[in-house]
Amino acid sequence: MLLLGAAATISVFITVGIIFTLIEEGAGFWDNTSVAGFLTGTQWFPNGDLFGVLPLLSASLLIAAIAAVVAVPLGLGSAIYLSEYASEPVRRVIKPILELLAGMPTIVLGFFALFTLTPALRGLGVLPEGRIYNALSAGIVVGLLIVPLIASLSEDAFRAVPRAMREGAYGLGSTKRIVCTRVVFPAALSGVMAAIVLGLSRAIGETMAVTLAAGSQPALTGDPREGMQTITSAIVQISKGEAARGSVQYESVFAIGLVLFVVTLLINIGAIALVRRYRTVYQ
Amino acid sequence: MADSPATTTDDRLVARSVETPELRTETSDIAPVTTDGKTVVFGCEKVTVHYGRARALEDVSLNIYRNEITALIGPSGCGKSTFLRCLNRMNDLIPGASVDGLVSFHGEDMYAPEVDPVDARRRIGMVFQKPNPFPKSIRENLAFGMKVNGIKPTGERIEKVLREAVLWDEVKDKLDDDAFALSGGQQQRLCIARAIAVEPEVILMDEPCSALDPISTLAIEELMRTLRERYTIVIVTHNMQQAARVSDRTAFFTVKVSEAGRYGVLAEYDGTQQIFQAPKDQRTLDYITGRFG
Amino acid sequence: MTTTALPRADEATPRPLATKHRRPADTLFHAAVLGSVVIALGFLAWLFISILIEGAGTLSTDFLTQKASQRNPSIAGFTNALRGSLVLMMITAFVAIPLGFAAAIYLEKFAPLSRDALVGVARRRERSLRVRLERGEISGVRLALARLWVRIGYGWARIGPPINTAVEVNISNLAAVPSIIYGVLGLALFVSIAGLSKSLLAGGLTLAVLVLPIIIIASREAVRAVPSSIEQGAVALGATRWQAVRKQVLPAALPGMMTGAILAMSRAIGEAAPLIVVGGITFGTAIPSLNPVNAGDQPLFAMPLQIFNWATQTREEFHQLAAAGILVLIGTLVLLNLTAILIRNRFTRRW
Repeated sequence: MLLLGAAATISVFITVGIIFTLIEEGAGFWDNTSVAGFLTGTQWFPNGDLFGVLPLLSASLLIAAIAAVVAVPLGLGSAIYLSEYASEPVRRVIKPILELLAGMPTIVLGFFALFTLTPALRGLGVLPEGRIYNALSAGIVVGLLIVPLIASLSEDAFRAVPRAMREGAYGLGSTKRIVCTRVVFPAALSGVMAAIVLGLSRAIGETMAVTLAAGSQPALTGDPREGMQTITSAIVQISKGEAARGSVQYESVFAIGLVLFVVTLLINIGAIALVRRYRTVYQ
Repeated sequence: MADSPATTTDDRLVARSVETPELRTETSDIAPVTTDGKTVVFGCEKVTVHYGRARALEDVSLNIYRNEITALIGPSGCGKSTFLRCLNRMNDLIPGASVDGLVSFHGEDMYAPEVDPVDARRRIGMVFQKPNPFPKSIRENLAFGMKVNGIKPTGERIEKVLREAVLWDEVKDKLDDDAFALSGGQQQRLCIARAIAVEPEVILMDEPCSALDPISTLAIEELMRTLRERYTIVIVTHNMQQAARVSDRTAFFTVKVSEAGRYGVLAEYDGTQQIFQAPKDQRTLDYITGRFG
Repeated sequence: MTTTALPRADEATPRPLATKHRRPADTLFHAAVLGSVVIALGFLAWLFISILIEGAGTLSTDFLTQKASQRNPSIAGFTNALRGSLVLMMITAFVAIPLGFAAAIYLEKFAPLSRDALVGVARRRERSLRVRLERGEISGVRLALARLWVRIGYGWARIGPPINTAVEVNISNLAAVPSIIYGVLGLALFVSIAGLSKSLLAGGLTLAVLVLPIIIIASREAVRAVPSSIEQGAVALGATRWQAVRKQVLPAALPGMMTGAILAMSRAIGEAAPLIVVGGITFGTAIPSLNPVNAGDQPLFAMPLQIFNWATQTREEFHQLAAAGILVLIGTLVLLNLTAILIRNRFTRRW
């Protein structure tokens, strides 16, 4: 039994390990770069010792925002369809397919974005001629990636709304749309919010699709048609070059890893708090 | 689900949007169906209900009259709630449920393909077994149904329905409080007020007191007696004393076991006094004297 | 009462039931929610078809058996990647599954949930110690140990539940930590600190850490799905808690736990980001040995890494190789998922 307990506490060691290594291994980084300079610097050029995190952070947030624009309507729509409209056999077919999308390796989505979606967007005239790397198609595939996550968590929240509440509304002469939008949706709101927030955190931490589709050129811009480098793809780029331990490039991986960890951790904690809240509403 | 196209060439009245209920007064009337000088609200002939392949209710024929309280009683599994849910097409919402036979509302077939179930539910209100207010304020609970049906939820109207449901004095100072903060009995009266607020003609009640304490039950029964003057009420109850106390007519359902499975049938339907004092059916007698099962 | 103010609802002669009519807003809403499913599935179909078109021509047995190459696409194959992924999975499964299952059983069955229950345990210990003291059965070192045991009981009642809550929150948090962070952890822990070099072993251990929270969460669900009446029945027959869990609960929960574990493996097999951080991109033609014991000095090859490598080459032929690799990867995933579904349908019973 003690062994079992030890296995459970390993998870705590993992968290401690993550925090420890992010701080410890990156400690030397702060000798050369001030925290303020790091957080407000507008240029990221590791080989030229320019370490400003803003272009990376803004790219991560922009791509997450595009992903949210894609995934929130699609995910919520799918969730409402599955929980309120679909018959049981239809649901049984669609859910596993959506789960397949959820389990798709992100490198596959990146490949799709780079070689299929981006040319298609160019063909539509959304992207300028000759543009290969761009935030838009990266954001779209990251959005697709989190659609199943948002759909599945929101559907759970919709299904947790008691049937009696739906029947009460139908009994008053409501149509299905009104039951969905004015009864089920508001009652499940905190669960839906949690789903969206978790989806955002997943989008910010997404790596391979973004690396392939958005490229590795840091750029501080709000234009989604431009290529840009996110925190995650910056980590990939430095790691690909096999930076030696102790070099400032190696240490910078841990510094921006820490930023990524803190941002996603804050988001996740918020989501977990939201989930706990909606679970207790209908007990 | 996709609506079938409106049958505008029909000589029936063209459907009106529920958002414009004031048109209601301009509609031409249909002749009331009467029997022995009483107006028949629901006429049911050989109503049979299946859930998937399982039969739930077989061959129920009875009339429900205006401004009366009709009680549906019987052991559990006898199909009384199933029958009640046929009367406002609530069974439509259960996947696999099918209703055969004729259910007519003022002489019209309620299950005719062109009938709009949403409009039927608006005119035939329902109160459920467990109080099911929405997780909103008292005012919003009442306003919801009104808005859905195009009635403006003015303070005056809200006061009226709350008074009618004998809840006004208890909640007049906390209309914007959460409805979940009310006691069970108050919540149930709020649900009745919510049903009244959309101006139905009939109120269906599915064991409205089964989740309540005796004092709240008395309050609801008292309320039913006053509501009878203005509405037609059908109540499902497992409590025979309650049926005897409040209802004018009683339908006794029982369980039939045959090769088709276990399902409910109507054993006897008569005036409440008749049912409780001189039942004609042996099964009814056994049940009300406690010898059942 | 002012009931007179309202008209009697049934005073007027009844109007007919309204006929069905179009509700444009409702139809639109239905179309919108159906449309979102169709769009999501449509993208999925588009993805499959485009990759199939790109990669199907390259997919052959030669592709599966030839060595990796960065220079000559016509002789490049997937064998290094396949072998690498296989070894990675062996290491990951070997480390993460036992740990995950153990943690899940502990958290579901033995974790200190309520302080009251734990205080009760400590009280019972104290009472039996008192009885034995009065009988004079205990003294010396054993007495001191028994007293310590009682103290531990009370202490655990105080700190156990908060620790448990922390562990639970921590696990749900870990499951949502970006996978690349695990790569950073693996780089520091296994490569830099433990000195494992950028090998399959370091990659496999990193993936094990990555999927551990996922396995714990999924197996907890499976353990929880076994009704407590099973365990109580066993205990009522004289089994200890531990026996009841081992002999009754665990076998009943095992299919569900295996399903969760396999799904976690299918997550691990598609991960590229943490492996890149741990090992960089491996060039060269060394073929990894299939013996996981040697993994410590085998180059870090894996299917997603090879795909990434080819996808970032400039020549078109390499992109076709990447697409073929994706088809193999997706095929593996589908196989794993089908196995999981099979186990779930075949062995899981509904309670």
